[in-house]
Amino acid sequence: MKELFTTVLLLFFVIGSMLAWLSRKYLGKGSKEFFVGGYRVGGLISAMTYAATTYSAFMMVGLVGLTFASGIAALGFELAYLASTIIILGSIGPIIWYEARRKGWVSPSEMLSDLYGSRIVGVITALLYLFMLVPYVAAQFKGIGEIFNSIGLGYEYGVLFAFIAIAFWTLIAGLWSVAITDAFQGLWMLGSSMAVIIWVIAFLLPSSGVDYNTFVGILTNSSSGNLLSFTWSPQMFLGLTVPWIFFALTNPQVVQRLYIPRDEKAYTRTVRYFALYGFIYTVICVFLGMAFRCYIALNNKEVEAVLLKNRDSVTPYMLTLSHPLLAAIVYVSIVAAAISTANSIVLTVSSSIVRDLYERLTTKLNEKLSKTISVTAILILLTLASLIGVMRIGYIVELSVISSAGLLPLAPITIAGIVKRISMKKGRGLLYPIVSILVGESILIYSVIMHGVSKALTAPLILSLPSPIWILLGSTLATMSILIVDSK
Amino acid sequence: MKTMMILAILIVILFYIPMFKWFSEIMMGLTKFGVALYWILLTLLSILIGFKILEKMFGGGAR
Repeated sequence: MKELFTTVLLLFFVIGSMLAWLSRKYLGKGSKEFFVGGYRVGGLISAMTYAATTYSAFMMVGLVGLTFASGIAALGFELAYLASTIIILGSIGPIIWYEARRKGWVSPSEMLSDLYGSRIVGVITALLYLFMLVPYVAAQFKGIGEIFNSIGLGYEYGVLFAFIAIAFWTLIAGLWSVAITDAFQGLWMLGSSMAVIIWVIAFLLPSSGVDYNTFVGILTNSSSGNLLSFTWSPQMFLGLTVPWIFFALTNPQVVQRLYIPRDEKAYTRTVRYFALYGFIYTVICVFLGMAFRCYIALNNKEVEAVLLKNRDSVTPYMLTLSHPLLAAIVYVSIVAAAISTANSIVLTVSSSIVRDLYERLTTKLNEKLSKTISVTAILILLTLASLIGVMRIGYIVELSVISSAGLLPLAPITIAGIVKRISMKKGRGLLYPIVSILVGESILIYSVIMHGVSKALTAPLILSLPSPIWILLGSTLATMSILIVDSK
Repeated sequence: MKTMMILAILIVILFYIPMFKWFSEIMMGLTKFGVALYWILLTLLSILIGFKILEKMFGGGAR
């Protein structure tokens, strides 16, 4: 298995590196080219980079395990994200796309800075991204390290591989190399998930004589209750879905992807292909979790109990039953999902650092210095994330999960700013977003103190409602005053 | 456009109805995969509405 995984991984790295190298021909000069591809990326590549950036290793590992343990509610959670994202991409997305090229936005923090007519807003947002997303990248490094460890290649080598792949594929041509390798990785992720589902349906389930009636019977009478019904607490469902419903507006790596399609046709294609990709990938991952629960419940009750206690082990255990080549391809797809998410975050957060902490504050723009800052920012972010990853800090994964709630106050700020679409008067423009962010982050910190990092999103906070509802309400109320006061 | 947006928001809210036990039981009574099919149907509807809104946005020149 070790040799097979190394061979497939090497093949993956060589193809990815060749694509990254070839993408250099598209790269022009300046930060607009490096970070947003000069706003001239085609529809298919835009869609694939959007999908690969959005869907991390969580899908094949976390979602499969979550469905295995808690049933069909996981489908509602993930599809609520997809449905709201397509609505956001159809309604607010085109305005962001249009305004980005009209005003020359490169970073998402620059967008907020422009909408509110305050450079301080951009600086604060850039720092918020840095604080919230470095643990998220570190969690991706940790995931790759764990895969290497489980195969016997050594945890540290996994982190090192991730560092090299991300650094190389990001620095070689910026957005161009990231987007093209993302497209390759997105296809690998979808293709391998299809291969696993075919193996499960055609070989694994029939090997135990599972037919439709057995499938339904086992899942409705499982040890965790009726898995075809809604088994989550309302707080858990609300707490996990609310931050994700606004993900397309709050997470900078996907907001920046809205800038890049070259024209209206390419933008429309991006939304269409992403919808198709997201729907297929989600349904496959959820079905895998359900099907494997059925198989294990029928064949090995002891393993079922162990996997229920450690649901992230569901996919790795499932793969031990498959052909080693299929297992190696799927393991590499998990590595791909982690790399494609991490490299986009690193590129986007660096763009915020370069644009909001240097280019927009200087009077004389030096292209060479700008490039040096970009490269340095990428390398520092990667080093920081990999060091946190190597230290194997236990709560890093939990911190990365709550990052979605930490960025939630940016949703009402973005929506209000886009709706108004006029630069606010000085002072006013600074006040509302800052108050909104402060209110939202204070509620999150309060929830972390009350319930701990692991339950900060899903435990009832006030009136039995979880913290994301209060973060959204609090920051929306702070932002609402923009629309009321500013229109007077 | 306004109607489409209201409809879109309504569909996202409808994702939360299965949190009520009586609703999941009704859906499960129709078919064992009732809850799953309900969410899949809502997703397909919201994708269609999202596409329609996008069409109108570009038709009206996203400004």
